[in-house]
Amino acid sequence: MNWTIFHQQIFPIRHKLYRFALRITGSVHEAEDVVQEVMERVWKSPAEQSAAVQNWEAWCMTLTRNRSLDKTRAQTQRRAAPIDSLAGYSADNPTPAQETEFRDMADRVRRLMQHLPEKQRLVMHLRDIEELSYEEIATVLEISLDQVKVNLHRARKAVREKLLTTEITAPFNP
Amino acid sequence: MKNKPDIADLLDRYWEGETTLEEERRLKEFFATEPVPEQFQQEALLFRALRAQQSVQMPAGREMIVSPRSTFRLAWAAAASVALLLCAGIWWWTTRPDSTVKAVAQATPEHKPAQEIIIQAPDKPLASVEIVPVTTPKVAPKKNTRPRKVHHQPEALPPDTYEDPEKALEEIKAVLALVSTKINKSKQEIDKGLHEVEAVDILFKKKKETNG
Repeated sequence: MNWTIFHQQIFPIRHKLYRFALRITGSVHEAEDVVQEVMERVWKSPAEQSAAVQNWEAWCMTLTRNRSLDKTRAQTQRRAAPIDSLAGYSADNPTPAQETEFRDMADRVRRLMQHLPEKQRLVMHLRDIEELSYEEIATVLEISLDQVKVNLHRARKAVREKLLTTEITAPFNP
Repeated sequence: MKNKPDIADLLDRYWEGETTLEEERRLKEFFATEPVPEQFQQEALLFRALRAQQSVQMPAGREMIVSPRSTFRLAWAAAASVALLLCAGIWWWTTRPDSTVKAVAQATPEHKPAQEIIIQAPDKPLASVEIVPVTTPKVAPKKNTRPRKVHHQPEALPPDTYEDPEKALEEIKAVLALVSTKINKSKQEIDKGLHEVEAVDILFKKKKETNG
């Protein structure tokens, strides 16, 4: 692997890989391990393999998905990620109460997404958080375009239905 | 800024999975910055939560598994090797018993007994090396350099290899010029690599500062 390619194309997407691994494994530590393993594998990839890669991001996301699923399947029981690890939000000049409230609600949404079936969860994550195109999602998850659209529709519908039944305790304005 | 019907329409299309990435970004932006109407409270929660998750980053300190240090060390190792080879080469050239230089001295009895060879200390560029017989008045040592003198005893010299001392000198100059060219080329390559590594290092420091 060429250092320039690694620095310009692989290193900047490490957080994206981490979020994706975190979405699949639900564990901060395992997500970190997955990203390191993926980066190490990419770094050590033979020149001929590197030359054949057209889309580094899609390739890394696929490696991350496969490695994360391997880890998840090896576990008998998935550990839940700490709330703080997925909140990551800070409003402009929030009061401590507002910040706590937002973290609570953001965690509720995260949990809703986390309980979706695997394909729906990953499709929604790649679209709504990583902002990948349908084609890129199909490549990363190795499914058809139709499956991407169907799973995205079902995922959003399920989240919406659950949100409608979720009690909003306070107005949610910035 | 979007008005309510626009947002309602975009939301309908979003739930159906018919929005483009650009439209979805606009929704996230709207719910992050605008006062949210009462009927969109649930949607606001969702889009803000999605936006929040976009900012989740890998914890600092676990970001790097490969470091530019390995490349950096490699470059320095290469530079050190070249320098070592250069020194060894010069030492060998000036101390070997059957050197062509000695033969030149032997072949020119008019230079006896004061024949000496001066090897100029490397001046910039690094690999510029010159050999000048002191008895040749046309070529003078450069200023600000410290000549290193090697004296040879004519009676201990082996048989001739060159009849003409000027020819022998030219031959030596040609050989050393070749070595000089090769070393300069290697040095340029190393400098280029080091420059890239330094640029990467600066970027990493900036990233760290940003994250910190």
